[in-house]
Amino acid sequence: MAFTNIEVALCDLPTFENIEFNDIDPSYARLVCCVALVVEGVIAGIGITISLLADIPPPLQEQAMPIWGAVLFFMTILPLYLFKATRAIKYSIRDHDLVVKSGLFWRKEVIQPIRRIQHVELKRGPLEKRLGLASISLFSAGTSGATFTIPGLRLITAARMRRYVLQTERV
Amino acid sequence: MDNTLTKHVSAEYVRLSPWAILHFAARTIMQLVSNAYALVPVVYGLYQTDSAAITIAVFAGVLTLVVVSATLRYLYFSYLIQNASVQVREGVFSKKQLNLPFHRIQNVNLEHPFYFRPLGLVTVKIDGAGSASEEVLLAALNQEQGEQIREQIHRHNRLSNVAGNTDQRVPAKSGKSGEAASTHTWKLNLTRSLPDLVLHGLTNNRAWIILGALGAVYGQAADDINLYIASLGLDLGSLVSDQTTIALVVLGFSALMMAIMIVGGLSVLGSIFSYYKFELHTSDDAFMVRRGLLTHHEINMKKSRIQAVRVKRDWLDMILGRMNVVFEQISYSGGQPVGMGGDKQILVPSVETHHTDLLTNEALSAQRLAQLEFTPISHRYFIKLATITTVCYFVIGLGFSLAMPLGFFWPSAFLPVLAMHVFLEYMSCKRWGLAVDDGLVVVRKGIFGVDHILIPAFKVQEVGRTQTPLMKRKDLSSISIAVASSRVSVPFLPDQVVRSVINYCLYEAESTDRSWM
Repeated sequence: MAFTNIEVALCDLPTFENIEFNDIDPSYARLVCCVALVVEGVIAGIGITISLLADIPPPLQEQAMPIWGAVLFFMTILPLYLFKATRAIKYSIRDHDLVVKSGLFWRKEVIQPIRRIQHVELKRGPLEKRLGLASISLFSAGTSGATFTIPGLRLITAARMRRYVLQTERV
Repeated sequence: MDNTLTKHVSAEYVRLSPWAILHFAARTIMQLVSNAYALVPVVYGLYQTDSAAITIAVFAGVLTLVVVSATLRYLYFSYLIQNASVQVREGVFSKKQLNLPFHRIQNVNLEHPFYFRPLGLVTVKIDGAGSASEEVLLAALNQEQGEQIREQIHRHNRLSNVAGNTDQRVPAKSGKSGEAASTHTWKLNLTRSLPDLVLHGLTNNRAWIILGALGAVYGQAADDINLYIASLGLDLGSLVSDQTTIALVVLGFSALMMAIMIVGGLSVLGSIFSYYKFELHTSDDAFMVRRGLLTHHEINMKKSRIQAVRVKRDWLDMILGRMNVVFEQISYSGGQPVGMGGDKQILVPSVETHHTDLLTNEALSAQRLAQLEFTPISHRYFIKLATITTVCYFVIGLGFSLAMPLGFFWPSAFLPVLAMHVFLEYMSCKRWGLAVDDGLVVVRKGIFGVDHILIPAFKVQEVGRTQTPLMKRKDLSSISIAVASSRVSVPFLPDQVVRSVINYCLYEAESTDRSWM
């Protein structure tokens, strides 16, 4: 093992800043949005049924307008947020590692050296299957769960990615 | 060595010695005790009954249950060491079969539990690198047998290391005396005396010591506080009659003192129990620790398995000039490492400063900690924390004073606590920092004490960087580094530093062929 010294090494180290990132499939963001809307619809249905059947205490009745306003506000914001957040997920594959960028406010970049990957999981839900999508999770020894999951990949991309990761010799 | 090996290879699954029943009984009792809350109703019921016969019957029942289950577990436990793997069959109702190949074994420890010590028997504890279920306990073996098994596994792993770092397909005939199978030359590195252990016991319970100090201060200042409360126009006496208040305070105070003394004593006792006759031996590639008063532990750890080293100092340690050094191995427990016990890590209690440098140097060939230059985190992190804390206190305080209007009582109760809290946050932010030096990433943190976490850059499993738009404006970001034993994160560092540390870690991890295991 040759002696390394950070002062020298830092200047000519490969950097992760100037990577070209790939977007995930746009249909996945729409899917997430739709699922959120359906779930919201179900919850709203339950809520409306309860409000019709149950006796509502007068103080709450007086405040009906603001409460409905708040609920509607969140119900419109949530799918929008999910859509944006899903669109914000970007990934990139380099020779030795995978990089995933995510987050709207807390922008996060996680980098996983391919050598340190313990196993790979490819997952497809029924809806994803219909759209021809898959998500891939990478596991290292560093955390009990996955380092990250890249959702909304075309099945071919995901399979290729998995093959690439598994080909690389591990230390 | 050779004929024992062939004996192992040709053997069928064998049972442990009948003395192992003791071991299983002890484990059953431990399980019962650790689930003690489930026994509370039973104990309460016993307490309620007057009949001695029922009590005796229940105790006899429990005893038979323990004995029977231990015997059954003994009868259904068999093991086989063959083809460079440890195989175990166990389980009375649900059968379990475990196959643990030698190369996946992380360490082999010998334990001398107190019930085996008169008999000269040992329990061999074999830890897999994987989950907690990959743990094999072979109880009631001879000292010789235990050492042979350990030597066999170590020899195999050493040979396979020589054969090629990544290649695990080593011929199973590891028994032949290879050239690399030289035995370890152990060198005694460090022992801990009784006073050291007492110190360790005391310093590891700083919370109670702080409480004790507060209690003492309160004792002196109680009158002043009473006067102050009276001057606010509050008559606490009208809430509770005067006599009762004083009695309550006295009672509470003495209870607190008692609790401090008991817990402090227990902690010192615990430290002595776990670390009595602590000996740390080193060889070229491994550490060995012997420790324990009743149950004697002998723990082996290969240096290459060490994922991180923590050097911990509490404020009391700072005053006394001691440090606790922890060598961390691969663990899936997640979260914070436990202090006492636990064979997945080696804790060297209450080490003097010059020894610490020796230890970190031995483990990671680290430089002197004192000479590192740390990049401190931005003061903006303190501002953020302090703002959040203040807002929280304000909201809670407002809630209290709306629910129970007591004039200036709530502000005067909340403000000192808030000030204290913010002060602690300030201290913590002042300590927090990151340094990179010669292949090591070092994180410094702590409030009154200082903890250093040393991570070899090439063992990094994953790295991350987080930034909010607000942080981006100030060119700050947070870094998080995970190794196989734990994860450290440092917030609000200069973005340039975070980026170069990440690049450096990735470079070290991806360019060298050194194994992280």
